[in-house]
Amino acid sequence: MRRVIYRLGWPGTIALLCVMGFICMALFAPWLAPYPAQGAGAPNVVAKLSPPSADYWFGTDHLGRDVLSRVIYATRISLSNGILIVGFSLLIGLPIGLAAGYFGGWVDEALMRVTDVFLAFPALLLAVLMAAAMGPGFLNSVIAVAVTWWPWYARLARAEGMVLRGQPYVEAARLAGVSHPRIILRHILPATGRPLTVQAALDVGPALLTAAALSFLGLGVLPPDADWGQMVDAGRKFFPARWWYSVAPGLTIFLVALSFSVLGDALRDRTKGPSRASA
Amino acid sequence: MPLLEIRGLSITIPTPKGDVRAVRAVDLSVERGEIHGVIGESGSGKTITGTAMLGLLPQGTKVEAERFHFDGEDLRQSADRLRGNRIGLISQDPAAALNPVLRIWRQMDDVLRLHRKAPRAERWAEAVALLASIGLNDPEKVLRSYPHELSGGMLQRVVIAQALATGADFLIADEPTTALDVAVAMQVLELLRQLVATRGLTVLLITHDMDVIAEVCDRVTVLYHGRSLENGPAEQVLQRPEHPYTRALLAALPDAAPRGERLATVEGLFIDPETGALLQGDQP
Amino acid sequence: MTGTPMLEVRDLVIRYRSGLFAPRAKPAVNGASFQLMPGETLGIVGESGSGKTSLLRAILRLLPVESGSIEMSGQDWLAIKGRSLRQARQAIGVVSQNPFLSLSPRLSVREILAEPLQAAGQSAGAALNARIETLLGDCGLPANFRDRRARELSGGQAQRVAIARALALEPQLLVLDEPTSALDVSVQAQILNLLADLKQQRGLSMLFVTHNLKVVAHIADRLMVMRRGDVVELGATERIVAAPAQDYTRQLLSFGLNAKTHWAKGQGVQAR
Repeated sequence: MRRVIYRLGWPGTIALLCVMGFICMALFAPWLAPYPAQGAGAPNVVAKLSPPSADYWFGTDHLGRDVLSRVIYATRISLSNGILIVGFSLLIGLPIGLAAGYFGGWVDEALMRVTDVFLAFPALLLAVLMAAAMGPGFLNSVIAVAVTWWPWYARLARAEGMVLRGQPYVEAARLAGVSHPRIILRHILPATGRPLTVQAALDVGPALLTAAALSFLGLGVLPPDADWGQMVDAGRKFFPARWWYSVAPGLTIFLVALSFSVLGDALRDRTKGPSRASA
Repeated sequence: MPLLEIRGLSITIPTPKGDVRAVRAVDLSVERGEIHGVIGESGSGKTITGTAMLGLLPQGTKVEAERFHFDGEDLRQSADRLRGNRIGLISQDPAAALNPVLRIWRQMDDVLRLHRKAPRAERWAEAVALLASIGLNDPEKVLRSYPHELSGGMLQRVVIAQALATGADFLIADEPTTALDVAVAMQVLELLRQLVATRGLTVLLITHDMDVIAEVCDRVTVLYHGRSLENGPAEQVLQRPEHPYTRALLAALPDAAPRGERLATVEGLFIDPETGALLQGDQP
Repeated sequence: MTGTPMLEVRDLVIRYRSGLFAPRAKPAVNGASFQLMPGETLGIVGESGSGKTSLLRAILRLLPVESGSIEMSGQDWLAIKGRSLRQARQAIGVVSQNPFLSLSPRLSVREILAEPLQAAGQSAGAALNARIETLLGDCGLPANFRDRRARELSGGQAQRVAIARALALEPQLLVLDEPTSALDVSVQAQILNLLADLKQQRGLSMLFVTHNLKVVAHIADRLMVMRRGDVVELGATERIVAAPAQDYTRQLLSFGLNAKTHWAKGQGVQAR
C-alpha cells in the first residue's frame, strides 16, 4: 500500500480506490443493491417518484424503482461500455499503428490515410451516425464509439513504432536475421505497453461519457436495462421537480470519469520516475 | 590559502531504495590560477563533487565535510550565492546548455543585464569584446545567430563567454571536450589555458580522459569509488604515480602497450568501500 | 595476404536524399575503396561527419548506396535482397557503441543470445542452452549470467554480452561500431583484450570503426582514416602511426598523454 502511495501519489491512490470501488460495484451489484430486483428492472409503482428517504437513499424513478439500485446495476453496463470501447479500439488501432510506424514508407502512407479519413469526422457525430445506422443496443453502441476511437491509438502506436524501429536493440535483432513479425511481437509490442496502458486508462472515462451520450440520445442500451446516460435522459422529463432522478446517475458519471482521468495522470507521471543522480 | 579547499567530503543521496553514499572521502585543494584536473571513472563521484560545489544536489542530500570552503566561505551555506557570480559551470554538451530558440545575444544579455546596470549599447559592446577575446572571429554575427547555426566548438566558447560574463573567476568544467572532435577539443583546452594566464582564472577540470589531463592540467586529483586516492602535479602523477590504481589506469590506456600486446586491466584490484584500503583478489 | 578478400569495397559513394529543390548534398562517403582480407582487422577512423558511420551502415545494408560496389567473399553483396539478405547478413556479427541501447531491456541474457540462434532455425532445448553457456564463457562471463537482464550488468559485462550475441552464428566478419567509446578506460582495456583473443582464436576479420585513433591502433592491422567523406589515409598501422602522411592524422595522434614525449625522455609514459 505504501508503495502504491509512493508511486501514484495521494490523488492517484484515491482515484485507484474509486476505480476499484466501481469495479466491485459492477461485480457485486446483486449483493450491494438494496433492491436487487428493482435494480434489474422490476417496477414498483406504489412508490413512484418518491424523494430521497431512509428507504430509498437516492429516491425512486417514474416506475418506483430505487434509483440507488438502478445506478449500481447501471455500473455494470456503463463500465463494461467504457472498457470494451477502449479494448476494441486498441484491437483495431494497435496493429494498424504499429505496422505503419515500424515499416514506414508506403505501408505507413496507406494505413495513415485511412486513419485520417476517420479522424476527419467529428467524433460524436460519427458515433451517432453509426449508432443510428446500426440501431440501438449495447454492442452496437460500443462498436459505434470504438469506430471513432481507434484512430487515436493508431496514431499513438505509430509514433511508438517509429521510435522503436530506430532503437539499436531492434536494429540488432534485424541484423541477426530475426523476421519482422517476430521483431514486432517480441520487441515492439512489449515496449508500447506502458504508454498505451496510460492512454487507455485515461480514455475509459471519456469513452464511457461518449457511450452515455449515445444512451442519452436514445441510441444506447434499451430498457429495462439501464446505463447512466439513459437514466439521466429518463430523469430529464421530471427535472427539476424530481431532481434526484437525473442527479444521482449524473454525479456518478462525473465521479467515474474523474477517477479514471486522475488515475491515468498518475500513471503517466509515474512513467517519468524520479531522476537518477549520476556520479 | 587555496581558493578551493575540500577535506573529508562525504555526500549521501537519499533514494527510494535507501541512501547512496556517492562520495565517501574526498580531499581536494585548488590553488588560485591553476587548472586542476579531477580524474575518475564512472562511479568515482567526480561529477557529484562538482555539483555539490554548485549547490545543485537534489533536496535531502547530506553533504558532510571537515572543510568545504571556497575562498574562505563555506560552500554548504553560500553555494547558491556564489554560483553564477564567482563560480561558473561548463558542461559536456554546450548545445544543451543553451536555449535553442533564442539568439546567442539574448542569452548573453540575460547574464550581462543581471551583473551590470549598463545601457543596451554598452552591453552589446561588452558581449562583442568578450566573444572576440575568446577567439570567436565574427562576434557580431555569432551574437545574432541561433545555437544550431554554430559548431560544437563555437558553442562551447559561447558557454565559456557566458560564464566569464558573470564575472566568475572559478570555472568548473565537467568533461568540456568529450563531445568535441580532437582538433576542436585542443582549441578549447588551449583557450582555457589562455584564460588562466590572462584573466587569472582558476579551472577545475573534471574528466575521465588521461589525455585531457596531460594536455592542460597543472595538478591532478585521482578519484575512485568516492575517494581521492592521490594528488599532485600532473607530470608527477602521470609519470610516477604512487597509487596502484593510478598505475593500473595508466597502463590500461590503449597506447600504453605496443600493438598486439595485452593491456593491463584494473581487474583483481579494488578498494574496500568502507575503509578505503586497497585490496588484491576477486571483488566480493 | 592473398586469396579472395573477405570484403571488398570499390568507389563507394553514399549520398543522403536532399529536398526536392535543394542543391544536391555533398556525398556522406565520397568514393571509398578498400579490401579486408580474412583474419585481418581494419580500423576505420574518423570524427563526426567523416562518413565512417554511413560507410558502416551501407556495408550492413541499412543505407542505400549511390554508386560503387561491395563484394562479400567474392559475391556481389548489393545484389542480395529480401529473405536471402536476411540470411546472408547472419554471416556478419555486429557490436555497437552502447550495450545498454543495443540489448533489449526486457529480455534476459539467455533470451538475447537465443534470438539470433533461433532466427537461424535452432530450436530451444539443451543444445541451445549449452551453446549459450559456451558463448558466455568465450566472452569471459560465467554461465549464471544467463538469467540476468541488461540493467543488472555493468557496462563492460553488457558489452561482453553484445559481443557474445555477435558471435552466436559463427560469423566470419565482425563489425564493431565504437565498441569501447561508452566504457571506462579500464573496461575498455578488458574489451580490447577480449577482441584480440577472439581474433586470434577464431581468425575473425574485423571492421573496427571509431573516432579514437589510439584505441584502434592498438588492435588493427591496417588503418583507414576518413575525413568529411573522403579517405585521407589507408595503410599498415605501424606505418601510419610512425609516419602519418597527413597533417590531420598527425593531429589525431599528437593529442594526449603518451604524445607528451618531452616529459619522459624518448618513450611514452609507462606505468610500471
